[in-house]
Order: sequence, then C-alpha cells, then structure tokens
Amino acid sequence: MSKLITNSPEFVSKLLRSSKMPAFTLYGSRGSTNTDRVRLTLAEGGFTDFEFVPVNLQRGEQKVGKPFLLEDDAAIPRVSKFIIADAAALSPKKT
Amino acid sequence: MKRHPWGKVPVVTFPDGFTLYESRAICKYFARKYSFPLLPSDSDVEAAALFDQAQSTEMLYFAEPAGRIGYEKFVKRFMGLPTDDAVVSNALSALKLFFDVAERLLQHNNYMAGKDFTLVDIYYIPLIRRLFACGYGDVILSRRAVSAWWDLCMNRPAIEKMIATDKGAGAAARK
Repeated sequence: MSKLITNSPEFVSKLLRSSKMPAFTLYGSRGSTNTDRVRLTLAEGGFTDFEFVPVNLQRGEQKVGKPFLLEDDAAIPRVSKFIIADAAALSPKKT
Repeated sequence: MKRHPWGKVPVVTFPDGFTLYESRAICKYFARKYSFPLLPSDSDVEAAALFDQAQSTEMLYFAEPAGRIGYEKFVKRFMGLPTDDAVVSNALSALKLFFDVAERLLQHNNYMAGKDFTLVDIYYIPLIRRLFACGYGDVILSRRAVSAWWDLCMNRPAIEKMIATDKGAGAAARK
C-alpha cells in the first residue's frame, strides 16, 4: 500500500486534496451588511478555501446555544457554495 | 453566543480554535494573514496612519448614520416594525454632510485611504448598496467625485462577480 502511494504522486495529491479541511468557517447571514463586508474582502483576495455557514438572524440562531454551537450539525444547513439572497429575497413571500 | 459575546454575525472560526468577530477586524486579519493587496505596507508608517484615519472616518461618520437608515428602512420592515421617520431624516442629513466632505477629499484621491484601493473602500460597499436599495442612491450619484469613486469600486471584477452571483441566488430564492 505504501509503495502504491509513494509511487503515485498523483494519488497522493488527490488524497491530500480530498481530505483537506477548509481553512476556516465563516458564520454569517443573508442580507447582513457586516457579513458582506467580509465576503467582499475574501472575493477581492480571491480566497475560496473556506466554509460558509448561514445563520438565520430572524430565527435568533445567533442568540441561542444549540444550533449556533453546532452541537447538532444537522440543525443548520452547511453549504460550500454561497447561496446568498439579496435584499428583495428577504421580503415576506408573496402568496 | 459562545462564538460572539453579543450574539451577532459575522464570526470566523479556525480549526485550531482561533475565533474572531467584528467584520472590520476579520477583514484586516484575512488581508494580513493571506497577504491580500488591500492594506498599505507596514513599513510605510504614514500610509498606515492614513489608512487608520480613513477607517475611523468610515466607522464613525459614515457607518453610524448609514446603519441607522438601513435599520429603519430595511431591517425594521422585515420585523414588521414601523420606520421612525425622524431618525431617518437626521441620519440622512448627517450622511449628506459626510459625503459633502468626502466629495472634496475624493477630488484629490481616487480612494478613501489615498491613491490605492484598500479595505476601507470595501468597508463602505455593503451599506452604500443598502442605501441604494432603500432609495437613497442619490446621496452618492449627485456628487461627482463620490460617484466616480463608487464606479471604480463597483467595476472591480471580483466585486462585480460577487454581486451578480448574489443577485442570481436572490432571484432563485424568490421563485
């Protein structure tokens, strides 16, 4: 096994890439100007190696312990790709 | 609450446990840690001081009134609370005075902290976009140098791309 790995640099780099953790986790909110300040900085720096965890401010997720502390990872969605709504998306749904 | 003592976002956490809150502090930390070309060089003491000056100006004279307008006209709307028009009117007066001065400064400098685009320019963007969304874009557009600065910021490819992506995601979320 070790022979296979050492003889195959491609395999090693693939393994390293797939097991690599993101550099950090950014907790933010859709429609938050403060969150966007940080996202704009990362965009300008061309930095994409991070995980974004949306926190729902309207549900008070930032205030209560459980979801925000991630004791239960399923409690809040984790996304690797940004799904950020703009201002209008926050308005009450027209039914 | 464990990550942010005031229970706010954004917060950033690293695998080693290092945690940071306050958007401007996070931005500055990232710029330093990952060498984003968005800060003056540490060896240029005067440029660093002018950066700090611009940063304080943004926080105290711009973000305060702009944030009040955003709260009254945007946040409160989603909470179903009535807008306090007196607060908006006072904040708008303060913003106009602020941009009158910024107009004069930007006639000599392309950007808020001097000749180069820096983090301070980024700091302005979200709240100015919020002002536009609330119908107060004229505060920017009616001032020639401020408007030219705003165009420079909005025409940066990375910023343009992020805003376009968010708009697409927002449109999809409304469907």
